[in-house]
Amino acid sequence: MKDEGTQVWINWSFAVPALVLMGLVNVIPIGQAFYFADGFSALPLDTRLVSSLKNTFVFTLATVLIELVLGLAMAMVLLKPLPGRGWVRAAVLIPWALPTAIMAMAWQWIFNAEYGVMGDLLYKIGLVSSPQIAWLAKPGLAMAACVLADVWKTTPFMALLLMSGLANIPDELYEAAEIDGAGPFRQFCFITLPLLKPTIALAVIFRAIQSFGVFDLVWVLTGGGPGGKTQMIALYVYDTVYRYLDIGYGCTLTLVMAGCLALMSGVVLLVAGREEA
Amino acid sequence: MAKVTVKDIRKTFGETTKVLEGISFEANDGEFVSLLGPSGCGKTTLLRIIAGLEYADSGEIHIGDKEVSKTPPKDRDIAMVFQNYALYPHLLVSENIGMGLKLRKYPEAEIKTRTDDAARMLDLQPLLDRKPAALSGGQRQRVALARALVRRPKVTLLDEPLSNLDAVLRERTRGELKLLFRKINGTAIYVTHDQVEAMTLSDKIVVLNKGRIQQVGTPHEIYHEPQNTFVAKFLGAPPMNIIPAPQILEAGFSPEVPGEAKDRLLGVRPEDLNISVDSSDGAIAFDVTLREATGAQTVLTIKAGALELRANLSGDWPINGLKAFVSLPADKLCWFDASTKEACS
Repeated sequence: MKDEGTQVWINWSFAVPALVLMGLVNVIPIGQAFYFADGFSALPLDTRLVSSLKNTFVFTLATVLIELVLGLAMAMVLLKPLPGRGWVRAAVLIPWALPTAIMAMAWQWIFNAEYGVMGDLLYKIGLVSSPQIAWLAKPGLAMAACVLADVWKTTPFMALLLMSGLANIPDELYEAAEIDGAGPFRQFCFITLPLLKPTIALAVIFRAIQSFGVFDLVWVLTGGGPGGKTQMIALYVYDTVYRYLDIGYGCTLTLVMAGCLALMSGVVLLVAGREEA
Repeated sequence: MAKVTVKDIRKTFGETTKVLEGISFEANDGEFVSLLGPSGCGKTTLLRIIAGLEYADSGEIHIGDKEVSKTPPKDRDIAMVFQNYALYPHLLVSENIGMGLKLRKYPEAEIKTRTDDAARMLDLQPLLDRKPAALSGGQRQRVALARALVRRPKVTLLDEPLSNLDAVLRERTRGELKLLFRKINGTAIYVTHDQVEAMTLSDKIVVLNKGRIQQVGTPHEIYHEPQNTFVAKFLGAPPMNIIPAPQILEAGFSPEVPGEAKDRLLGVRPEDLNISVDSSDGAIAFDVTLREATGAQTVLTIKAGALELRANLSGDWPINGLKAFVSLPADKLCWFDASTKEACS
């Protein structure tokens, strides 16, 4: 028998490789960001920061909310014992599996002002008077296009996360509620939503972090334009560091971004945790 | 409370798997009826069809005067206790009990009164502000019962509600359940594979096997007058001895065989065998090959030539009693047809 102290050392020794890896990829870069960061006093006067933060929050809020609603609906349908369910599941996951940059280029064509399918489709169903719509050149439409492309790509991921939570809710609870007198809508309100809350919180945090750090989709689709109306914080950091070579301020912006993410995650966890208690 | 009539229910899963084949029985007003059978015999499917959670391919279910075969569960005025209790994990015990009333839009005051009444009846008052996760198995079971009874349904359906409890708690809860249903005089249909639960709780037992009813009767009838060898062997521990009549005659016994001996099987309960360490007139000597003492009773496995029987004695059997002298109780013998396995009338 080894004494307790020896056992503790042995346990820690097993954790060393993981700790070293974490140190290399997490602790050191974060430490460097703090070390090199400067220009904190310029933050309150930085209008580009304010507008990129606003754009990022709008993008994050819109994508996460729409994906949550669509993903939940998709997850509920995919869990039903329908014929060919396996094929449908695989098909639904395809957008998520595609490389973002390639998918964004496809959406660029879909939103092309002259030849794009989207304008043509809306024209054919009579929603617009002309098929020529400058989706990516008009400020409001450009943001909507970015949101739509992101929703199309990432809703399957949200559905996948929610499906795991839904599958853990026993069928007996729905049957008990059915006998108690609850129809489908009330079963959804009384059982599905409350029991899915921890999974929803997790999915929202995952997606909010991803959405808040969006880069490649917007970079390919609009490049942050028109007139900076789709410039996200990640694009601003990229410009600052690689275009203007201002590493110190780039580090400061990165810390602002990390702070926003920590704040958002904290709020989601707090809300989910308070209602759980 | 109401009478439940099940008429010629048939159910097939997929193309070929026949789960229920022409099930018919009645549960009278205030009667406690058990559906008893081995795993996979269709008893839970039948209960779910009565509840409306599944629909039969054909046949009718009547609750009271109303035909409910195609009626959704919420409109059948039934309550159900599930095997895993199906308590809402995010709600307090009081909310769990009152949920059925809340969903049916009862006034708050009545929900509270009825919840308190049900909690008092099942001794749940100190637990009303807890969530199900903070309860023991027995307490959860009582909450599930309270939730079922609070609505005062016409019929209570129970799907193996004691199967998740340990042996001691199961026995105690079984007694409580019996007293409770006697007190409320409610019609109940209870699914179990446990013959002791069925025998002790029921006014009537429906024995099922492979989707067919084997026998319907009181516990006494089912145990003492089995209609076929399946029922004879399914009830009783150890089960009834079923022996071809020629083998009995070869061993030296001389019972009055109804009909040709080669066409008959003899059934005799292990506890009905007359067995003694001392020789007596007409008794046949058997070797004791196994002695299993459980305290209150002793089960012997005894052998004479090719004939092997099991005997159940109240009390003890001498440890050096290697010979047993056995005679058959003429008034407690059951005879079955060797080919159909049905009881001879």
